Amino acid sequence: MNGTSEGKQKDRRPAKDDEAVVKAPPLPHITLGYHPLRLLVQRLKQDTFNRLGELIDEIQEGTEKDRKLKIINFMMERRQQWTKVLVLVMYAKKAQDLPGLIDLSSYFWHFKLTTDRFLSEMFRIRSDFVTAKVPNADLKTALEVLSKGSSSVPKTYGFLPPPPLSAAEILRTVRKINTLLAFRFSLHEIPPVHFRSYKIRSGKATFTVENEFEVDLSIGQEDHTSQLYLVDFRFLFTPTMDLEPLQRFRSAIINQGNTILLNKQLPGIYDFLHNLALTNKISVLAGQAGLLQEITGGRWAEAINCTMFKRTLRINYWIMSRADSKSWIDVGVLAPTEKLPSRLGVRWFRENKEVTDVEVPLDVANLSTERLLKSVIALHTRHILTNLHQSLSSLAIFPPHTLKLKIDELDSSNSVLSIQLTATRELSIAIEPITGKFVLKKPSTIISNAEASINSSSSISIYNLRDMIGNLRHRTLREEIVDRASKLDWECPPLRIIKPDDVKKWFGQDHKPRYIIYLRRKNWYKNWILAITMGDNGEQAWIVDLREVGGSHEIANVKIIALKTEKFGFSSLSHLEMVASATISNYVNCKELDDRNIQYTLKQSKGGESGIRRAHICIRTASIMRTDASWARDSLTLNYSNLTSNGEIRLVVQGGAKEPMTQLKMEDMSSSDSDIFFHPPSGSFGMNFVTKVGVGVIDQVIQRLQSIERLISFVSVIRQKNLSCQHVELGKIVFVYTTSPIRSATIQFSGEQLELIFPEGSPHVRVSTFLNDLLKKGGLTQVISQLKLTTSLLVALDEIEKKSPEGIVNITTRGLEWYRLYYPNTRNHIIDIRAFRRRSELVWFIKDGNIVRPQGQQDQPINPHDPAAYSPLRPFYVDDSTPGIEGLRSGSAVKAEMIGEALNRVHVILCPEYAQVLAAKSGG
Amino acid sequence: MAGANTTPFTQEEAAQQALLEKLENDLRGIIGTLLETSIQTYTYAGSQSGESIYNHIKDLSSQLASPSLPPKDLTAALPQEVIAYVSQGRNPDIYTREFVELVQRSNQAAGGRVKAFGDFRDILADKILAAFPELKEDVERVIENTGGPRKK
Repeated sequence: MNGTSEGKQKDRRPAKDDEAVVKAPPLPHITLGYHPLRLLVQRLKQDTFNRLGELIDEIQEGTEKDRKLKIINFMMERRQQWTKVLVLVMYAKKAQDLPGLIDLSSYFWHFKLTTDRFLSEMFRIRSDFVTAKVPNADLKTALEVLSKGSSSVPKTYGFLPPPPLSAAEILRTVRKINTLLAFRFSLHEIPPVHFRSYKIRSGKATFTVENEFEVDLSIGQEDHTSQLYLVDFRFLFTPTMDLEPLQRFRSAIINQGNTILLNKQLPGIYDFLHNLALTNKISVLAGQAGLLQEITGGRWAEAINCTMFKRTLRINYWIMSRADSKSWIDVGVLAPTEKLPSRLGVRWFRENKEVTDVEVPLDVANLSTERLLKSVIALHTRHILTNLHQSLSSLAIFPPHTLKLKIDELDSSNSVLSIQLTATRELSIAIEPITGKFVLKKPSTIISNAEASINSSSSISIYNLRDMIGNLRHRTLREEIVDRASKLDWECPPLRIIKPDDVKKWFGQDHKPRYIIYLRRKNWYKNWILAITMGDNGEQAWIVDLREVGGSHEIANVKIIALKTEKFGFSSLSHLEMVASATISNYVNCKELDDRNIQYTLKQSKGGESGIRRAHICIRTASIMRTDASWARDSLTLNYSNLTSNGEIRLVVQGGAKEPMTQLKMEDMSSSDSDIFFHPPSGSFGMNFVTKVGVGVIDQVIQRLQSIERLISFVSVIRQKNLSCQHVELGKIVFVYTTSPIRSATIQFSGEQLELIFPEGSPHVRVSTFLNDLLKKGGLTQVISQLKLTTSLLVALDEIEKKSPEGIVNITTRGLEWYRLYYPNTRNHIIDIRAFRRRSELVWFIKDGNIVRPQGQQDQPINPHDPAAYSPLRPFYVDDSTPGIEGLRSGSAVKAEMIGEALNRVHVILCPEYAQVLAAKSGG
Repeated sequence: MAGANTTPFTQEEAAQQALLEKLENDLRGIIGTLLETSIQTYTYAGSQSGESIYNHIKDLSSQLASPSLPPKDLTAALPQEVIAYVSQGRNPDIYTREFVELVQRSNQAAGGRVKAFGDFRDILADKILAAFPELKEDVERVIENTGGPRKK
C-alpha cells in the first residue's frame, strides 16, 4: 500500500528531480473518539456541585445516623469518581505518544482491509477464468462454408408441433380432473382434520388453512393411488416473507412439497406447509422486532431486546428501567391439543413471573410485532396502575374521590392514574409505553425528585410505590401548609424542637406519623405549639405544651384537636387557629383553676356560625370568691369569644348578681371601663379579656370579681343612705355626701387596694386617714355616718384655722370623734371636742382639756366638782339660752347640727378678733 | 510510554504539562477534602466536629467553585477506550501496554503481507512473461512501480 502510493508520487515527479529525497506521506491523524480532559473535569465538577446541593437538602432531616451515613456515602462515592479523573490526568501527563500509536494502529487496520479486498479480487478473477474456454474449431463445417458458400447442417431438428388444444378439450380435461379430484378426496384419500376446507375448480383442488396458507394440488394420472402434485401455494397472512424474487426458494419448496406428497400424502403436506407458515410468521415477527430495535430510526431502540431460540422469539421490553424485574414475551409454537393443531402463541412473563390468567391478544392474520408489544405493554400498564389504585385506596388519606383511574387498552400512553394529592395539587401517574418509565405530573421539585427516584431504582413494588406516593402527598401538603401558614403569621419552629423520643411517645400511639409540622402563631405564649402529624390514616392536629428543660424542650402534655377538613386552605387554617387557641386557652384556664382548687366543669356547647363544638368553663362562684359570694349567681362561665388580628385571644366571663342591680343606673355606668359591662335590669355582668394564647386569666377574673363585688356593695350602701353617685366605674366611685355646698368623696378599689380620697379643700382631708381606716374596718356605712356627723364641725374648724390670726390656735385631730384646739397665747388653753352617744343620739361635748387658772390665782385649789370654775369659757358652759347647746357648768353638750355655731362662740371668747370675721361673714 | 528516552517537550507541550500538573494538584486537593470529610463525619461527636464537617463541606464547595478548575487552556484529550478502562477501575497503563503490543503485532502482520505480496507479484510476473512474452515491457513497468527489483 505504502509502496504503491510512493510509486505513483514518484511517477508524477519530473525526472530531473532525481536527487530529491522521497518521503512517505505523513500518517493520517485520527481525531474521532477523543474526549477533551477539560470537558471531563468540567462535567464531574458540575455534577459534584449539583449533588452536593442535593446532599445538603437531604441531610436537613432524618436521624443523626442517617445523616452521617448519607454524608459518608456521598463523600466516598465522589472520591471514587474524582480519583478516576485523577488517574486519567496522571495518565495524560505521560501519554503524549499515544496519539501516534493510535494513528499507527489505524493505519495498519486500513492496510489489512485493503489487502483483504485485493485478495478477494484476485480470487474472483481466478474463478472467472474457470469458465473461460475457447471452443474447438468446427473444421468440417468451416470447410464446407468456405468452399460451398453455405452449410448443409440443418438449422432445426424437425420436431412436429403438438396439435393445438381446443377450448372444449381443455374444459373436458379440467372437468374430468375435477371429478377425479372430488372422488379422490371424498373416497380414497380423506384429508386430515385441520385440512378439510378445499374447493375444486379449474383442474385443481385448493386447500385453505385460515390465516396460514392456501395450496393448489392436482393429479397427473387417473389412478387414485398416483401422486398428487403441488401446483402452487400462497401464504394467507400479511406481511409475509416475499418469496417471488427468490424463485429458487419457491421452487425448492414446491420440489420438497412434491417429494412429501409422494411419501406422506396429504397429512405430510399439511404438516409441512403448516410448519412453514408458523416458522415464517415467527420470522416475520422477528424481522419486525429487529427493525424496531435498530439503533438508527427504530422507535424502540434500546428499549427492547430480541433473541431467537430455535423457533421461539423472545422480546424483552422495558429493559432500560427496573433492571431487577425483567419482563418479556415469548412468541412460539404451542403444542397441539385434542381439538387444535399446533399454533402460534404468546407467553407473557411479567416481572420475572409467567402470567397465566391473562391472554395476550395476537393477530395471526396481520402480523405486527409493534402492535403485539403495545398490547402487552398496555396489559402490563393496566396491571400496575390497577394494583396501585387498589393499594392506594386502602389508605385513609386517599378516599375514593381522590383517585381516578383511566385505562386505555390499546394505547397505554393514555392510561393514567390521577391522584388528588391536596386540595390544589393533582398528581397523574402514567407509564411511558416504550421505556416503561413512570411519568409523574405536574412537575414540582418534590414530584420530579420522586419520579427520578422511582425510575432509577432497579425494581419497585406496588408497596414501595404506594409509600412513595403517600410520602409525596405528605410532603406536598406540608409544603402547602407551611406556605399558607407563614402568610397567616404563623412561625415554623424547627423539627428538632421536639426530640424523636418524645415524638414517638406522644404522637405515635395510634398511628406512626410520617411527617410532622410544627407551627406557632406569632403572639402565642412560648410554651405552646401546634403540631400537625401526617400519616397513612390522615392528618391529626395536636396542641403541644412544651416545657423548657435546660435549653431543650420536653413535651408536658398534648391534646388532639378536631380538624374540620383535610384541605388546609386559608380558611381552614384560620379555623384551626381558632380551635387551637380556644383549646389552649381552656386547657390553661382549667389548669389554673385546678391549681387553685376552684370547682368548675367543662361543658361542650355549639359554637356560633362556625358550627364547631366549643367548650366553655363553668366556674362555681362560691369557690372562686374569697369573700361572701351570696350576692352572686351560682356559676360564672368563661367563654372563648374570638381572636384579635394579631393572634391574641379574646375571652368573655359572664356572671350575674342574684338581684337586679337597680341601685346602678345605666347612666352611671356610661363612662365605665369597656372591659367590664353590666346589665343592671337582669343583674348580669361580663368581663372582656384579651391575652396571649396560652396565658391564663383566672387571677384577673378573681381580681375583677372582687372589684365587682365591692362596687355593688358600695353602690348599694350609697343608695341606702340616699346619697347620689357622681361617677361609677369598676374600681372607682365618686359620691356626694352633702348637697349644699356639694361635697364629694372618691372610693378607689382594685384587688386588695381600697382608698377613700377627698378633693383638695374638702374639710374631710383633715380626717382622711381615720376615715380610710374606718372604711377598711367598718365599711362604707360607718364612713357615711361619720361624714354626716363631722361635716359641720370640720367646716367650722377649717374656717377658724384659716381666718384666725397666725399662731392663735393649733388644731389637732386625735381621732374622728376627738379634736383638740390649743391656744398657746391664751394661757396655753386647750379645748377638747369629743363625740358621745347620748340617748341614741350623737352629741359633741366641748370642755377644757386642762385646768388653767387666771393670773394671780395659780395657787387656788381645784374643786373636783367644778373643775372649770376658773375657765374663761365658764360663761359659755353655763349659758343654756341657745337650743341645741346645753350648758353643763364644766362643759357643753352640743347637738351635731349646732356644733359650728358653738365652736365659733368658744373661739371668739379665746380670740376676740375673730368676732369681726364672724360679723363680716354674717354681714356679707 | 513517557520513558526518559522520549524527545524533549516543545514549548507548548511544556505549558500543557504545567497545566496538567496544576490540575493534578487541584484534584488531589478535592480528593483529600472528600476523604477528610468522611473521616470527620465518621468520628462525629458533638457540636465541635459538626462545625468541622460544615467547614469541610464549605472547603469542598469553594474548591469546586474555583474558576481555574479545570484550566482554561488545557487541550489534553484522551481516547474513549482509556476513559472506559479507568471507569471500570482498571489501570490505563495496561491499556497502553496492550495497545503497543497490538500495534507491534499489526506491524509484523503487515510486514508479512508486504513480503508475501511481493513474492506473489514476482511469481505472477514470471508466469505472465512465460505465457505472453509480448507483455514483457508492461510487466517490467508494473514490477518497478510496485517496488520490485529493476530488471534493466
